[in-house]
Amino acid sequence: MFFNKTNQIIELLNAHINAVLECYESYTVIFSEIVNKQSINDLGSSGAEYTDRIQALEEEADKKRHQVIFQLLQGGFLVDSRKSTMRLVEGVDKIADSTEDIIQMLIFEKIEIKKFLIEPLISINDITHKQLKQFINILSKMVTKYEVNQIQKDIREIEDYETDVDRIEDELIKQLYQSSLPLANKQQLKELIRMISNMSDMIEDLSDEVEIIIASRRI
Amino acid sequence: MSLLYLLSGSFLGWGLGANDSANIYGTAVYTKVVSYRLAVILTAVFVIIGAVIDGEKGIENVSSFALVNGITLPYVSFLVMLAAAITVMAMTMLKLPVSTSQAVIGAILGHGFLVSKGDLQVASQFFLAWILTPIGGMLFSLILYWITVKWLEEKLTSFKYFEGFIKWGYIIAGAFAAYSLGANNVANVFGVFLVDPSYIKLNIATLLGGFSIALGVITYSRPVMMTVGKGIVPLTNVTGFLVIIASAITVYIYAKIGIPVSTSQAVVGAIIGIGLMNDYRLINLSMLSRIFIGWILTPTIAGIVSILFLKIFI
Repeated sequence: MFFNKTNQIIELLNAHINAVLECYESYTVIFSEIVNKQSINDLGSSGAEYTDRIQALEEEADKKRHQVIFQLLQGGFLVDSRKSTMRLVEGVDKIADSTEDIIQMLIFEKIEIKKFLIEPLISINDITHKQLKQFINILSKMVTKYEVNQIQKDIREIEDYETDVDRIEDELIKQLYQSSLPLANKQQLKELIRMISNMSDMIEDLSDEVEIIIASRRI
Repeated sequence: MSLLYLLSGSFLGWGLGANDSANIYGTAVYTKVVSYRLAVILTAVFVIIGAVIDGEKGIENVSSFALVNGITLPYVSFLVMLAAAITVMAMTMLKLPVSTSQAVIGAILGHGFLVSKGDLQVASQFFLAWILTPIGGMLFSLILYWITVKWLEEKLTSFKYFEGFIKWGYIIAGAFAAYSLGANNVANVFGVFLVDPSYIKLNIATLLGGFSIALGVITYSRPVMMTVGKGIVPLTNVTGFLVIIASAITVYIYAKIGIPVSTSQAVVGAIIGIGLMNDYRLINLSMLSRIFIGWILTPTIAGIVSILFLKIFI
């Protein structure tokens, strides 16, 4: 009974994290397609298509999140694990929320991404993607078995990725304010850069939660 | 009327159940690994089973000790047990370290000294057991800790294994600890009354004794469980489990030998053992000094109260 519930929750957690990963990967594709257009006005009907696609994926992830929480409330995990799992699920889900917010912001606010921003923003997305995959790798190790030193090394890697993203973000904002763009555009783009970079911070926070779980399981 | 004499023993058993059940599932209930309801049911059931199956040796030993100290009548047994029960209650209310086993032996000795039959040499087996109880808890926790690190540490990194280990580990360890408590401490409840075999049969004494302890568990264990659980929280889930097993083994061995001992002192010893292996900050010197004070204070006060009661009522 106890193990059945545990297995069900683990399956749902996997389904949720995969839905979030799918959402993030679609976001990176959509983002690249949007920023590589000559102008945001060239999008035409594909703009609506993009927002619908990312919204559907975010909703799917959200549905899975609800299922995990519902199952957690039915019991199965120890209370401490239940609390930390809820925090992890909520945190992971925020990444899907962010991808939807970013695509909607780009399309609804018709934000023109300047050439000097494109490559660094795509590289932030790439690093965050690696970070997310590393985080998923850590989670799968936690379910099966892990070597404490190795998992701590994996967590340090996530932190290193976040440092890289921070560095690119700071540089971008510096360049942005050195440009001749009107202040309103600068503010809007700064907000966008923050939102894109913030996903890396979220994953780093989630890895901190994993460290707490590891510490609580030590003898 | 004569059956009412058993009330003092039952009262002591009730207090014992209310207090000592916290050593069994306190941590598990406080950390919500086991529900209070399940903890109470398991403790009550296994206390009775332990008392009935393995409680006889302790009862015979305590009744022999009572006989050596000149107790032969149920009425006197009643007064001696009342003195022990009141000592335990008063010391608990005053937040002084107390052990039921030590109070019972002290009260019996009080009678012995009053009638000039007090035999410290016979009592020395109990004194030695009290000193060895925390040491036993410590040794077993050291061994269990070593085994866990060597054989289970890697397995415990698996989420499913960890969850199952903690959940079922606490349930099984708690059931064993409840069994040990019943087997060991039932002697404190009705052991003294067995001085007159025509007054109460041995099998009835173990059964009723087990029920008295179980009643304390069912009716008044929640506040103590929460307090003790909170007190042991610095331990991790795994070490908390090891403490329960280590103390349960110690108490069980004494049940087999036939000497009632303090489960709380076995728990403190086990925590010290974990502290030695893991984190020395877990070693609480005030807990140690309270045990030492309890060794002296509890039997002395129980003995004095017993003498007073016997002087007044006989």
